[in-house]
Amino acid sequence: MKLEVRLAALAVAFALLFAALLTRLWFVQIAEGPSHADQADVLQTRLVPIESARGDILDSRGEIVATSVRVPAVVVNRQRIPSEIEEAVIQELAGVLEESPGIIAERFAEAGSGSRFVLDEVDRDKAHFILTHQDRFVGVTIETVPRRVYPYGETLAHVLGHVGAVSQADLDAEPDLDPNGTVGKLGIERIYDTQLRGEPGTRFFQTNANGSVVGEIGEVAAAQGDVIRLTIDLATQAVTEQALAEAMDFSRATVDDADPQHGAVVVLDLVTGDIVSMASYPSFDPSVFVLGLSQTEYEALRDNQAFNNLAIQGLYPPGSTMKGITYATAVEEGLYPTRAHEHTPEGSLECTGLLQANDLEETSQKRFTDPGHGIVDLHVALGASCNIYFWEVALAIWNEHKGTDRENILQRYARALGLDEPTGIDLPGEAGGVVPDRALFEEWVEEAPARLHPSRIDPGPLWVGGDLMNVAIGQGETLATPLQMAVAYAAMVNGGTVWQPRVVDAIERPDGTIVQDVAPTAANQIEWSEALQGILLDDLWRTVNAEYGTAYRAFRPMDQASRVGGKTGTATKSGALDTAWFVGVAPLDAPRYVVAVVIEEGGGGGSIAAPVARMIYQHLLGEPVDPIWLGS
Amino acid sequence: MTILSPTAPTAESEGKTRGAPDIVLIVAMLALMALGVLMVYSASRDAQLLLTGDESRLMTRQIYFVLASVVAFGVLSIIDYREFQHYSPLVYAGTILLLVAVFFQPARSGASRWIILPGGFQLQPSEFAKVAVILLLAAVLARSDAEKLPWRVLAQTLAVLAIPAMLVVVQPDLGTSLVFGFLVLVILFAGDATYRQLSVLAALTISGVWAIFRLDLLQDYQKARLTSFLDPASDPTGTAYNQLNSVTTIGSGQLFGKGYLNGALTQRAFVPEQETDFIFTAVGEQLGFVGGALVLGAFAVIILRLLRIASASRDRFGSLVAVGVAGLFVFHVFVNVGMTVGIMPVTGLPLPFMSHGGSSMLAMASALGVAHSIWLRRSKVPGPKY
Repeated sequence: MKLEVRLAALAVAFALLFAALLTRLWFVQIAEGPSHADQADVLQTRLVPIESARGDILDSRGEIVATSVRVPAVVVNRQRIPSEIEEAVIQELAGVLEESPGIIAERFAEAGSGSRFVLDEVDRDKAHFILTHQDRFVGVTIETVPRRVYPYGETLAHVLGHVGAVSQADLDAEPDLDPNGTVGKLGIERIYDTQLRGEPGTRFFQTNANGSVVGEIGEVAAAQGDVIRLTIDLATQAVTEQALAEAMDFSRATVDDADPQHGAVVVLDLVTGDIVSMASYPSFDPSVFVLGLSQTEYEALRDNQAFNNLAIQGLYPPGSTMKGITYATAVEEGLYPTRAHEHTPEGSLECTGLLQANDLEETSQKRFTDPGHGIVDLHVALGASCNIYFWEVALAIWNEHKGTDRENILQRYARALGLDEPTGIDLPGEAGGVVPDRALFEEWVEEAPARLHPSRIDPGPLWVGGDLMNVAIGQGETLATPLQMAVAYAAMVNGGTVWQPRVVDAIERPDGTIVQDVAPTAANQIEWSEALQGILLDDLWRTVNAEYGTAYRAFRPMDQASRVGGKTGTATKSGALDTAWFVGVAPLDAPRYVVAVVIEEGGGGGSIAAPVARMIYQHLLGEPVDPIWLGS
Repeated sequence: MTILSPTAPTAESEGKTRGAPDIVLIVAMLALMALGVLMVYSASRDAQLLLTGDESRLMTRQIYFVLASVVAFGVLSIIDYREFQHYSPLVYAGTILLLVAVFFQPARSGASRWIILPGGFQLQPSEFAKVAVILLLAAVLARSDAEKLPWRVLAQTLAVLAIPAMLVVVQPDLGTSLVFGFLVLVILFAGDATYRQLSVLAALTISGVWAIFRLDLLQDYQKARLTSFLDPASDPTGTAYNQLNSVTTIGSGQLFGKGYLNGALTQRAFVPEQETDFIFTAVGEQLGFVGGALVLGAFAVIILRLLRIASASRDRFGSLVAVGVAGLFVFHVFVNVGMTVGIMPVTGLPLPFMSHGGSSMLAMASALGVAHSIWLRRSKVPGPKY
């Protein structure tokens, strides 16, 4: 074969190879070019989320009760730490943060390999040290991160709630969350989390193949969260919390056997349904969740119910505060006791401290310990909190309507006033309470027989007149939260509006424009008779101002005591000191504030709960607040 | 064969023992060298600024290499190539010594391929061995002018190939050792090997490749490169990842590229060895399909001119040398560019005249210089042939 032919064959072969290259090049750059270009952008761009500053929470006067500040923090980027020096970096971090290397290593492990996370906040000196010793802190930077600040510490903690690190459960519920960010865990912080959180921004960095940032492309700024304006008045809140705490301390110090651990207060504006203040004892400082809390500290607080908002979650037998509702039922239904004696006027009876009910067993008469109020009518009975009288009201219902649909007439009033189910306040975790009746007991037989005494099921009967008598004085199975009692009393004196109470007045943008104006919402409207409206406030006045009134002594230090009415309650609890209640209304000339106080194992409502209300009313009616003093 | 046909002798060429230089060949070579300098700068300046504070460091070195290579090209053009027919065994022996010498040098990246020189330079003898093998093969084959290539001569060529190929394989440098195989095939084909001989050679090659795998002669990383080439998803962070990045980088250049010095990916180390083996990604990203096609076109021009030289050579030795050099360029360009666009496995073969590195540039320019010397002396007396 001639050389030329062989060379030509080689030329053809070489040309084919070049054609293959050119075809491939065309395919890569032209046919697939655009998708490669997109992929190239992804390769060289890193997105870093910018945590948005959480919105402020303001009280009704605009005082900031929760806000966010930016503080320097140590940010670890494990991707940039070569694995062979990671141990050394952990040692260095432990040194500067004064933390054990084990704990730092644990945080590294939690965050995962290749992750980027905020390790800890640091002061300026430590930040400076880390920044000037980058050879020892490879992959560690200082960035400013938003931090939640609660300027008033424990004040309003249960309403505000707190924020915390995003948990797996949070991520399951909302997969778009920044796993390294924070989220509202309790209270307002939790239920208004979406509004407070704002929109996280994104910073776009150009990177090289190692992921090292070589330049910033730009950013989409984070949008600050909305501002929540509360109905709470911080000044009243402070007085409320102080009065509650003082009462608890004072009771422990001065009353034998008294060791109250838990208490709650609600101040409700009965005209608007606004919560003016709300306190639960014991409390906590929401900042501890930001600054760090050990497991032991957390468990101690949790076991003492410090995280429970007892004003909406605490279920207590309402005791004699229930008599207000029984009173209203009696007036509206015309069920005055009619068992007149020769020496008592119509509508009255003589209270000897014993129940003179022929159809009750002899033994049951001995249970009742009223001192004997003498001749009592409806008005005196409320002021003096006469069990005998209100039992007679229950018996009047029972004797006339038992076994019929009207035997529940008292419970129906209670439910119309908001008992037996949550009020719907804009706070998480609210409890609903119990207003027992025959139907409930029948349900319990099926579903929770352990809640009933065995003799009720066998031989029975399941539901007796005594049970209704217990409802009438807020004992037995009856349970309510302080907030429910406040709402019920508000509805009895405000013309019948049963509020769905609210703690949030408005949601605003950081610039002040209103996003959402939370209007007062009525859950129910009751048409009271004129007769009730004419006498209820006067009879509530008796509790505080009549010499036989159960809160008479408690309110003596108050100049304007005559403008205050209310009802005490002392709910018995077997094996423990009584639960003390007081629900008040003031000013009586133009009713505005309902104050509901509960002190668990505090003793008598007049002696320990009423004085707390007295202090709060002194503040609300503009007089100097006298120190706590027992009302007995 | 018009494309290979030399221009008809002109009046000017009458009576001259040396023809006019091949300006097209020289321009194509210089253009590639110049573009190489620019691309080395673009691909290396960010890293060099970080590492040494001198962003032009590699470009400056590359300019020295270009200057030295142009000198080598000129000197070898002037030297009568027929000298090499006699001295080729010496040249060959010299490079074999150098190939042995690398084993007494410290290894770099797990391979002994370099001889350390003063001034921060390194010599890579295997680059020169390629040229030496071409010369010796051509010399061995040129001795037999028979119609049919004797089997004895075939055996000699294989012996010539075997020594440096084995030395390079154990360095280890698989890519370069494959060059020798390709060169032998191309030169034997041009040197009148029969189909039967070529078939035997092909069979030997196949069994050789089989033996390399079977006898576990490959280093783990070499196996990884080959298997990851066949299945890139098997190794998303290693070699295949580099190659995927290379394809993405070239693809993102699209038709016209992102513009010189706008190679976001090649400039930021997304592609490994972007100033040496992967220099073509810088071309693809910044100058686009148009730039890449022009580079391939320049190489095509050089290869066609080499085939023309083979055809025009006054003797068989010259023809075979020119064919060998053409094969050298074809193999390097195809394997190197093919690697960057993902149709060939990753091997350490540089792109001639463009990849940063002195040994390759000098060896390639020398090879082209010898070929050009053949062109200049294509006809003793201008006559019917030329």
